[in-house]
Amino acid sequence: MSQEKLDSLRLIIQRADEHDSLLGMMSRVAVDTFIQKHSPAKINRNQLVDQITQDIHRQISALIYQQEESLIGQKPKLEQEINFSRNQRRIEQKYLQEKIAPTR
Amino acid sequence: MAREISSTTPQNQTSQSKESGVQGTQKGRHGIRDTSHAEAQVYHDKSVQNTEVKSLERRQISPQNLNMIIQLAKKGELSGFSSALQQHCSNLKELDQTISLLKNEGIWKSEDVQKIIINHFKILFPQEALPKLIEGLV
Repeated sequence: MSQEKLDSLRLIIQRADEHDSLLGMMSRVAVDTFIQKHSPAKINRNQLVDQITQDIHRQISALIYQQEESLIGQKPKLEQEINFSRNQRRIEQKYLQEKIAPTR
Repeated sequence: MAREISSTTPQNQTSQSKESGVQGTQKGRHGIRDTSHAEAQVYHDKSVQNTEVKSLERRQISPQNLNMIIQLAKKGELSGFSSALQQHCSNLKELDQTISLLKNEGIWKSEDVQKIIINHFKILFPQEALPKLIEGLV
């Protein structure tokens, strides 16, 4: 995978814990559409949004991780940059977890 | 008893009609001729194509499986309902179809049923969204 594609994947999940993130907005639209269509009586809308966001973030993170591993093998000099990026994602995952955890 | 769920045409399907060069009113020796008597048919090529595409895209859960899911929900066999849903309801369109039927049967009011459906939605949405998000990147 090229560096550009990897950067694009990272952009998709960037700051997923923030309100105006791409993933957050996408999850909100999906959940709000579901609620509008089906009017479920008891639904924790925010929790559902956070859970879906976290799930997608986790899956894309896993993909990025795999690609980064192969990139490190080809270009060891990128290791530092990749480690920084992984740290960022770990922090975002943690924030997403904390959003969901209190209501469990 | 298995319930026949026939594939339905879209509610907003327009009928075909052909338009053959409407001339408008014409003045001639016999006065103004009203061309509204002329046969008017309008080809809606786009709507015909849309109908065909929609019927291909609109994958339906089989009537037997849908009936089984509904019966399990009706009987209150929630774990069976949940398993059947996971096994046979594999995309959001099918989930919508299932919910519609649950509503018709008056089962959608059950909070337990709703909870199971929402949990399934939580699985299906990322499943469908992810390939679109990463298309061309992986």
